[in-house]
Amino acid sequence: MSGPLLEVRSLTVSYGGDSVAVDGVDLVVGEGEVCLVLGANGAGKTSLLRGIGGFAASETGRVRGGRVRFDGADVTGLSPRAMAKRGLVLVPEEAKVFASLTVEENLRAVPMAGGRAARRALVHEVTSMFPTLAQRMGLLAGQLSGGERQLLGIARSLLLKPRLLMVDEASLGLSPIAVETVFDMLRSVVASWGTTLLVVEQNVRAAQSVSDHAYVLETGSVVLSGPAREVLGSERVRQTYLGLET
Amino acid sequence: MLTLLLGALTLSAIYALVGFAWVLLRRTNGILNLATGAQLALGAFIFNQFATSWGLPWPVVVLGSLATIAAIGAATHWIVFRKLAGQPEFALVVATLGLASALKGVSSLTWGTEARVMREPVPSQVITFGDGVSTTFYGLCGLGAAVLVFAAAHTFFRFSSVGIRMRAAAENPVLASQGGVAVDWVYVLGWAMALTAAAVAGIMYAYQTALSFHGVEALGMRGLAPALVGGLTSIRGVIPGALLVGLAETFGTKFFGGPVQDVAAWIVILVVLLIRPQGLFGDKQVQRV
Repeated sequence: MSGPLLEVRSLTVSYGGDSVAVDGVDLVVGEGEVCLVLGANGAGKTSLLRGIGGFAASETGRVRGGRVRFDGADVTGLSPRAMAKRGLVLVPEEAKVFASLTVEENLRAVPMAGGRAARRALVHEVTSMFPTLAQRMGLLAGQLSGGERQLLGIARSLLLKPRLLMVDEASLGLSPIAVETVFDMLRSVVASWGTTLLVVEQNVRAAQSVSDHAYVLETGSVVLSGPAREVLGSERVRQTYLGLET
Repeated sequence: MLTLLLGALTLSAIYALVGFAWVLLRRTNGILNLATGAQLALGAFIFNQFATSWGLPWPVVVLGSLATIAAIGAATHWIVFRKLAGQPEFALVVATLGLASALKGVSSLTWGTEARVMREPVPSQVITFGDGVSTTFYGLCGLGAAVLVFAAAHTFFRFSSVGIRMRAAAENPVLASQGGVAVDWVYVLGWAMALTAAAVAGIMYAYQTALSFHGVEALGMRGLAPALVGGLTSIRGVIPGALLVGLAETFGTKFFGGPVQDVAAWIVILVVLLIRPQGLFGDKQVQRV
């Protein structure tokens, strides 16, 4: 493949009626890159990821315009399951685990590809990356801490062998130490699995160390984009997201 | 007294199977299925078609009728409820009411409205234990079927990957879909399993009484009581619920006469709704905050 892994053109997402959450967004992510999407609450970050990753039939959200190309193929409007099967996997902002299932059952609920031996090897590989989870296999996921739930959400998504992992607000509600653990894990995933990352964040300090490219979203539209160093160093981002005076 | 208790136990087994059908569909598909009674009756009539009308060998009767019923369950999701995804719950409930009327019409057109006697694999007989405690052979069969269904369901949902995925999809279908689970097939399986359990209950009940659409359908509707006691989502909670209804119906009939049979379950439903609307044995959701 010569083009980018993910190419989003003029994407428009709405939740019924005239309410537009994402308005004509263009976004490109190359293979092996880490792309950061910044934005305040209500900027349309989650809707952008949901528009890329697909809405279930039972949801009100819909892609109203534009195109999503993944690995060269048009995947606009496919179901979340169809996206996951293609390797485009979302770790959602909230409810990222099944609270009434144990940690082990959360992992077993993922329909992994390959034979029994390959599936077992993959589970072993993933759980060895998450020693905290490996010690809590029999615990209900609803009893885990916020950071542990985030790690379990990422572990579940890795069992699908994603080519592009979209992580929505990985740091939301976590302590600084937990945020560090989660971003260490994401760095490790990129380094050892070669997975491409599209990360939505409000916590610029946490995300800036892992990002290659960055987009800034305001009221559903991209207002700034480019190499992460340039975007995160810009006056607009420093003032709005880091609270720094220039 | 012991015979009466054994009678209550065998009746409870039938109620447990009916309650299981209600709870399974509510839990996996999120639907309060008011067509459960009609589906119980349909299952029993399909079994009777294989057994009595066509006179097929018993293994063919059992496998053929249950496979047909499971297929009808799967088709119910694919043809009706898949189209209603995302609709408010009252729309789904109204759809199940429509489905119940349609099934009643189909049954009436196909098999008429007369009560029937089903062909028996072995002659019905009274079985006596020790000191005059007795029950019927088909009463014990119903008890065995209930034990088998609940043991199989526990094993399936606790240990099999498909069962765990069904529990996951029941908790959060969107997250399950994002995790690669084929949620539509989970719903298909939920309908197929619920209708099969309902049919087993209908067949066992028809062997203990007679096969009439009205009688079996009424049993199905009364089966909401044990499901409600279990909080509509707890499969384990159905068992004490079924015992409660079985005891109330058996002893109510004994001491207050036949009409109590029709109202005992509804009294249990009213009492449960008044005292604890969420059910007595709803699954505890543990959530760290």
